[in-house]
Amino acid sequence: MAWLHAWVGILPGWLLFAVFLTGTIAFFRTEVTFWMQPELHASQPGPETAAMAMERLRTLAPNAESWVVGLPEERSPTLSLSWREPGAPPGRRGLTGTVLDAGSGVELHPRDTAGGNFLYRFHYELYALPRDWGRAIVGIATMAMFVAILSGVITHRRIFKDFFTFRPAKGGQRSWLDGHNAAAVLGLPFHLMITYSGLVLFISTLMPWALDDGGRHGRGGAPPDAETTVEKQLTPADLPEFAPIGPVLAQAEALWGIPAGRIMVEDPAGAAVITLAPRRNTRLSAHSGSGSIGVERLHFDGRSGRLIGRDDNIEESAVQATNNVLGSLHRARFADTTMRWLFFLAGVAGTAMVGTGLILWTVKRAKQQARPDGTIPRHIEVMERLNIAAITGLTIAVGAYFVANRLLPVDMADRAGWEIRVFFAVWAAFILHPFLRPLRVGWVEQLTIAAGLFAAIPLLNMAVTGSHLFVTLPAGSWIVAGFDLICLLTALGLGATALKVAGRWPVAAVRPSGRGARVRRRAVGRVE
Amino acid sequence: MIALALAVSYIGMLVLCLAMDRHGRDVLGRVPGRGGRLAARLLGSALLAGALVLCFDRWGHAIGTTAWLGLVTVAGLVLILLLPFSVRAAGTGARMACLLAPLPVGAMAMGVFAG
Repeated sequence: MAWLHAWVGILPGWLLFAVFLTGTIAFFRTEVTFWMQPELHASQPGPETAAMAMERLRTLAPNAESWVVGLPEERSPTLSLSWREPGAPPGRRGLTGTVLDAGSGVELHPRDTAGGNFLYRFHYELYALPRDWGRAIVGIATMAMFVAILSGVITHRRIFKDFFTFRPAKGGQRSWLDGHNAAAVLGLPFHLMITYSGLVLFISTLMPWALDDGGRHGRGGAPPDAETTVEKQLTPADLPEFAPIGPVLAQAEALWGIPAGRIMVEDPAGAAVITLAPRRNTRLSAHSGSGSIGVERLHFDGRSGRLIGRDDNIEESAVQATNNVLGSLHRARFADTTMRWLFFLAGVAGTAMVGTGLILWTVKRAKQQARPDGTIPRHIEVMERLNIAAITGLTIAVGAYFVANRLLPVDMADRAGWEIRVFFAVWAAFILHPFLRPLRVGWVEQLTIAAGLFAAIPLLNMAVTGSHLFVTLPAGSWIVAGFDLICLLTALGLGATALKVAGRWPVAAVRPSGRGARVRRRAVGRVE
Repeated sequence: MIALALAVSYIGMLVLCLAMDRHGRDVLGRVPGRGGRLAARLLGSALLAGALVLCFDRWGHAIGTTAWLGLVTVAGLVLILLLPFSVRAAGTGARMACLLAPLPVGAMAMGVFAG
């Protein structure tokens, strides 16, 4: 079983580390995207935001077939408006849109970025690969992850006995093993859930034959016949009055217990049905939906403001409900800010579990197979170099992605694409780097660069944007401030690890009985 | 309410950890006896159950259970990071949590009686 755990863990492990790291950040993808568009940071919602949105759409798009209002919320305090012009293609492609300051209604022009969505998509379909290939690769790795978790519980059966054991002062294999076990066992409910639900979300890729229609379900059909009749052009004044939106939103909030996140208006010039969607799912068993918003809806008559229908999509079938719960858990679709942090922290534990597992693999073998002269077999060295590339190399690439977001010219052509190119170019460089340096130097250099990059992000924010910590903290702009603080914290963690690996870290060890701390210095060898 | 649920989870995990050989020895200076171990397990489990009730109160049963698992995980991670650096730090953490603990118990009682 130990053999199975080790090999099923290491081979897809580098990829799994990337999936865990980018997936963990993706729990905050909306917030990350918001941070990456500093042009939006001044937006503050006011009491009249929704009413202003409806007025604005009447002026901007009196002829539209439908309107969509993305209301400001705790994850992104801007107001987004979009509409479908007559004859526009179906789906998101056919929408015209704009982003407004939710308080003043001033149109904003955010920089072009893929934001958190790039990291989100990367974590399940990688990049630049045919979509099904990326999914299949991550899907197979996920299956290996699941096997690794189950076999790990058996291999490390002492984890339940040494539940809270973590001895960083011991150094060497012992410390890495403790760290691996602690991150694994404490987050076990999360790791099992996220891995299993990940597999279930991949079901149409991994088991296309399990679906009745051979996996083509939900990939969009032929567009409906385009309307050929050109109607009379309407002016804003031609549109009949709407019911005040405030009471409509209040009704929805009373029914759901949380505010609406989106207003959709079908046929604003005619029947004018107002449909609301909640900010997040109100039930765990609601379908997680493929877009950013679930499937719960309330329908109102746009003229009278009367509630005319409610879609809860409550599933009759237990199988479908189970599927919904798993999808909803994986995507944290129901999560408020607190829950989102819990998911994020558990994700950090998962990332640490994979990372420590990878390091443990080489540390253990290096110790077992060390030659009398202290050198280690070449294949273990290669494995450790790949560990550096996968763990710190990717961390640096993520840092570089954020730095590129602040440094690339705002009006650059294909700016979003260039941010991503920076990410991959930097990662490629730091995959190569460990092969050119001695092992320990490779670790220390990469850890130091990663620490420097993450520490630079809040400082860079100070230099090139107006929304840095001295502004965002007093203003209570927690999305932006939180991002910067997490960067600083990450920098501290990476810096401390660099010092420890370099052997310059005084490790405080506590005597078992707690009779006082005895500080001892120890030079830690290679990463061990 | 969330901070209180986290505090209760933390004390619960700390008390549970006292019932274990190694940690009992590290924190208390001796391996707890059978009675002490049983008491610690019961108290620890009761505290975790209390945190679950708090989560139900805040989030309902389905999402509350999810939140509870997350809180217990985070409480455990905090404990596990504090223990090796200083047993006293872990204890201080527990004392800070204890200051907050009467509040959730009161809130829980009110919640139960209010319906």
